[in-house]
Amino acid sequence: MTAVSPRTDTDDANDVARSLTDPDRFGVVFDRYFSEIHGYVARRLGTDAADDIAAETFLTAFRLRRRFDASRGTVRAWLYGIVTNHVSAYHRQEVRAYRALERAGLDGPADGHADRVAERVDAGAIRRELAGALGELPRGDREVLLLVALGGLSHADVAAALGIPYGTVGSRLNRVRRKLRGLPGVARVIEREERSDG
Amino acid sequence: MDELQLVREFFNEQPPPDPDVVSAAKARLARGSRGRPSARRLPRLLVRAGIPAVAAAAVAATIIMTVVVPGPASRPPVAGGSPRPASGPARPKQAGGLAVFQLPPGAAIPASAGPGQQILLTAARTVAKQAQPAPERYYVTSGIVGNFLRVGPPGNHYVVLEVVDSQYWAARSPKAGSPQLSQALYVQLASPADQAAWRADGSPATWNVGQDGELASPTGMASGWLHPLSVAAGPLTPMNALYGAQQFLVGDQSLTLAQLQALPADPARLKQLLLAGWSPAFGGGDATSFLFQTVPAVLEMPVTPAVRSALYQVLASLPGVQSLGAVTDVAGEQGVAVAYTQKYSDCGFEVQLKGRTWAPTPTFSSCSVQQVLVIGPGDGMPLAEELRYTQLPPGQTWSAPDGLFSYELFGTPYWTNQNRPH
Repeated sequence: MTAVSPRTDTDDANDVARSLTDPDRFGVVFDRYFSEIHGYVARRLGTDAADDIAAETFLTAFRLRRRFDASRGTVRAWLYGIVTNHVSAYHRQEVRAYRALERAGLDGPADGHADRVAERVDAGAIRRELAGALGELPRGDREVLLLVALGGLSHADVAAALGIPYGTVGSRLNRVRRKLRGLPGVARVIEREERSDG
Repeated sequence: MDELQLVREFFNEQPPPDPDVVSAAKARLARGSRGRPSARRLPRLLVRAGIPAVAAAAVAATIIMTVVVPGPASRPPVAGGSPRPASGPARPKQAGGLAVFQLPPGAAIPASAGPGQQILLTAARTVAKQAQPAPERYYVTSGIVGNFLRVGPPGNHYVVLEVVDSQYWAARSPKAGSPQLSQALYVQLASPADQAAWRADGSPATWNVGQDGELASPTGMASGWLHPLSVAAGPLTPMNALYGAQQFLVGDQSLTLAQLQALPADPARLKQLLLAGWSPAFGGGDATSFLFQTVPAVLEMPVTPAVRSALYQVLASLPGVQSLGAVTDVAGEQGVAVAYTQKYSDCGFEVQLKGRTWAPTPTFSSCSVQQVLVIGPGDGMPLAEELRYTQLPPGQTWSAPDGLFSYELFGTPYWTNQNRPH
């Protein structure tokens, strides 16, 4: 009984179910996902906002745990749904940041792998393009894009997180990807990569 | 390289959260999740009282009609055990709406009569002789849970008792869901003074109780989000279902039936397993308090008789466990009892409405809570668990008799081939 088996979605759901009568049990869910949720928000809005939003997300999740329905999706998707709602309160700031980046084209939301990007492409131009596109995306499209690109969520998880039909995830994502590929700098990079790969 | 990769690179990776941030967030969660130490959780996951669904449904119908408290439910016998007499808590006739809770004659909790080891070791010997029934489709544990809750407007708080039937149907097959079900049975007022305050409040039939899974504390409301409470009985409602094979929560671990039945019968090893994953940093009491809360639930699970005996030996090994001798429980049944009293420094949390979110604010005041475990003299199985304040936070009052704030009447757990209720 001491054997450790990999965590599964069912284990997660059971932990949430048990936390109804054993609130401490929710700590297991926190331990498993806090860093991931924090990282997701930190990439979008910066570390300071993430500190607050991630904490608030788990408090909300705890309070709403009775409403968690394992038949509708995974715990991870449910947490991303909650964090999406919290992030939406920062919608204007986020869009302002994209616009500022579009004009400046310098640093991203924070420093990191810019050097690596710069080696490959004219990073500044691409950043400006992406920032502009992200700022203009309809909110629903942007959430789908970021849950897939940053959160690494499956289409099913995105559908569960946002409470939208599965097919809508695919159509929104396709629309966004087409739009991004249509950006000149982005198109150039992809073309260059494909040439060097092929 | 595709456009999604470019988006990922646009949003640079960030360092992991600072450990201080993580611990602050966890503390925030703990403040939101823990209303108060050692409170009986409502309704507990793996609790008892074998009330057939049919009987429960009939009871519900009775209450909806009259708002009078239900008659006693019959408890099914379990192989190797003797059926317990079915008698409910004393329920006086209602006058002017809601009845006032009264302890049955002789049910006041006596003072300690010395160390509790002897009672526990006797129980250990009794349960060791039990037969182990063959598994069927579901293992049903249930209980009648009573919680005293502080409700009412500021300046006119009063205490009500909500009584709930709680059932857990653990499926033997991992493919079948294992539902936990709950049914609101009835509401009473804790004392005549509470009845007067309730009338002054306009005799409401519903309240919002600022607690979830925890109990209101003597300092006011516990943390958690609002939970509606109604005097009307409700149907047997599925709260959630566990899926998969690991249906038995032992301490902090989820076990399959096979793992449960392979638990060691050595008390020291068993104690170690029960405490695995527990930390004093969790708050809510010391290791003895934790084991005192955990062990009765495990006694009700389909463990081997040798393990059940070892569980009592674990309790007997704990320092500070007292004997209360022969007692009458809240339901009027006779048993013997042991108790453990602990002082807590964080007895109360208040909640404030900030915008649309509840922000719990700790009000660290001390109190002492006594956990009483009543053991059936015949089969050595837990009969009832009663929690009460033996010392209130300074300046606070608690009107329920004997300082009682929560109890649970354990039924006899049983295997069944019946279909589950939901």
